[in-house]
Amino acid sequence: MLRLLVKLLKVLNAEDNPAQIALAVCLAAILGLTPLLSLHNLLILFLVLVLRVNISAFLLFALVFSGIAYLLDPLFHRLGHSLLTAEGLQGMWTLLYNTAAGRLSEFNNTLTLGSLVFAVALSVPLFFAAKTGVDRYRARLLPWVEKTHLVRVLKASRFYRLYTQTGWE
Amino acid sequence: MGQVIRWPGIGAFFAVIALLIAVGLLWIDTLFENGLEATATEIVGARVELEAASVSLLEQSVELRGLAVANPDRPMTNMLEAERIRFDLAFGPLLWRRLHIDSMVVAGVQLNTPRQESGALEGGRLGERVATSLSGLLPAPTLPRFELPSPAEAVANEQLQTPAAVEALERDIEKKTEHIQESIDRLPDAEDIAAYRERLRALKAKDFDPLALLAKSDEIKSLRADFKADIARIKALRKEISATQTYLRDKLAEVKKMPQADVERIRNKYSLSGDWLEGLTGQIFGRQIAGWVDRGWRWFKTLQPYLGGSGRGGDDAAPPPPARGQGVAVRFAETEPAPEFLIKEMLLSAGDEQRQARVSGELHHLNDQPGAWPHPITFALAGEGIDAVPAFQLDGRIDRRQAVGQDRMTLALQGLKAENLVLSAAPAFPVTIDSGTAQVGAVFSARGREVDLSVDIGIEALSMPAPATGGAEGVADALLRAVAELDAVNFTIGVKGDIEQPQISIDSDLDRLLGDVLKRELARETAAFTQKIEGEVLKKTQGLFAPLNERLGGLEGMLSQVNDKGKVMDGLLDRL
Repeated sequence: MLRLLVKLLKVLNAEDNPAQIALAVCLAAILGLTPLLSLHNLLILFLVLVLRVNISAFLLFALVFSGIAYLLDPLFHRLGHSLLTAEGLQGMWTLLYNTAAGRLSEFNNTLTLGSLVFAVALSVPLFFAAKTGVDRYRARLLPWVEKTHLVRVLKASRFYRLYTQTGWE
Repeated sequence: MGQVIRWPGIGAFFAVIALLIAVGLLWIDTLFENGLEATATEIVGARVELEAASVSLLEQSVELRGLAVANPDRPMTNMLEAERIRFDLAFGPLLWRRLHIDSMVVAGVQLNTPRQESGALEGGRLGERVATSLSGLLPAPTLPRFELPSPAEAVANEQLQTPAAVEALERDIEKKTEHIQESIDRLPDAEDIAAYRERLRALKAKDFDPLALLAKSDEIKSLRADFKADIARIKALRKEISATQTYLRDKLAEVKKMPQADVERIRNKYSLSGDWLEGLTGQIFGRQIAGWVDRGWRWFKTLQPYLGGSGRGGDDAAPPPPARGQGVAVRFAETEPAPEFLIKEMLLSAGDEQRQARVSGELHHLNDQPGAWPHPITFALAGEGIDAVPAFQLDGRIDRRQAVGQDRMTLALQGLKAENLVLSAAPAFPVTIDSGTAQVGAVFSARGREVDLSVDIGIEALSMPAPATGGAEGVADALLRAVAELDAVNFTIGVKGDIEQPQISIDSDLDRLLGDVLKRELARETAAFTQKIEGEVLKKTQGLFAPLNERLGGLEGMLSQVNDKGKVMDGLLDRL
């Protein structure tokens, strides 16, 4: 947990491109909000590793979104159920249901589909919100944070040395 | 491009995948074992344990060893143990998330083996089991009771019909007596007779005047007519009095029977009708007997959702909301329908050469989506030489391919040892079969929600403990003694109707025995009660009949009066 906190601070204070952090948050949202053992999460893993996104931010936010997902379960179920039973979409679902990939993806599970659609839809505004958030943090809050007593204590600690020595990105 | 793509990430991705596969391969046995244990435990409602599971991806086969399925009703017993289960997995269907097993072999099966540790689940599922039990649908057992009031109280509470009948007869006698008296009063009295005599004397006087003689002749005619008219009235009245006497005597005889009728009525009021003798076995032992088939019934109900199809007919209720983190799988039309879970053939065998015990069976087409598979589930299991059940056969067919399922099963158990079989657990009426040999035949059929189960149980070579002296009283004691003398008994348990609220019937040759005992007891109690009622009724009615006799005697006097008048008139007529 301490190490992860160090990562977060490092990610937020690093000179990484805010877009890279924001993209990591979006991918984390998809992985965290949807059932972990789903086929589409292989693609998410692939994207996280292949695209230059911030892995620490991804891991941290994946944890955060997993917690949120538990709270949003009923919403995901209802959304998934309404999509899977929508008259106009029956042809598409039936076609997908009759493919091995479709079956392996478990798209016909109300929770899987509902959470995936919700997460994908959320990721677009989330990307811009996260990018703006990082920009504003760095411009407005970072100087203030660095002056706080807590940060000064931290900088004087072994924790900070760990912080300065560690980095995945 | 280099700013967007992290080329080493591709390698990292495959490295992560390889790592996941390696970990999976390393842990697949444990994962499979744990997953199977958890799922089976959930279905059974008691612990299901495996000693080991071995999954071979190369051979696409699975081998399970040391399967133990605890009995939810008796947690210290395994209802089933299997030494080894082996099956091959079809790889193609796995890509479609389908588990298809062409052939499964189950070897070393043992039934009802003891456990070292309890197989009960934490929190248990007892409530669920009670809710789905047949015995829970029957009322609590009751022993017929003969509760009679005190005879004095019974008579006091009853409106006796004898006094009213006596009163009515008294009024009748009075009315008729008055009427007869009025008729007597209208007959010639002493004055009239004196006048007749005077007229007769006048006629007898000598007179030679021809005109006077002519007048006398007319007077004679007139007098004779008067005499005859009076005599006729007297005769009619005499007849009327006789008829009235007969009528009132009959009435009196009827009224004198009324006290006995009162006694009968009171006795009948406190007697039990013959209806309660119907289904005595069910009333007294119903719950315990129904409990014998509870286990099978609960199993059928527990497995219902896993047998696929509605199996119920009618409208399906809305599905319950899914558990957290699970969701619901929505199914769509398939171009090549196939069930998600399928065992085409399962062969089961077990044996103990030393004891010559053998169990063998087969099951075909077990699947979770019968609508997607062309064959119904069929099974047959037979065994012999097992300690508790020397021989048994079970076979059945579960066909849920249509909207309304049609299931059929038959079971036969021969030579089943019945030991410490409780017929009644009531403290005031404890009945237990110490030992016996039972033959059981059961036929079950279901069409949608409608079920029809008939279980015939015959227990021979019965040994039942004699009731303790002074252990029970009255009816209970008589019943206990009668039951203890049984050497064989037959029961038929019938379950018919909707699967959730079936009608349960229990017939037995025990009905007649229990009925006879109860009738005897009832007759004994009733005889004593009747005798006392007779005494009470007699006390209330004994003084009522003497006045009636007296008043009837009065009619006799009236008849004498009329007869006397008749004689006088006859004498006068003779003298004319």
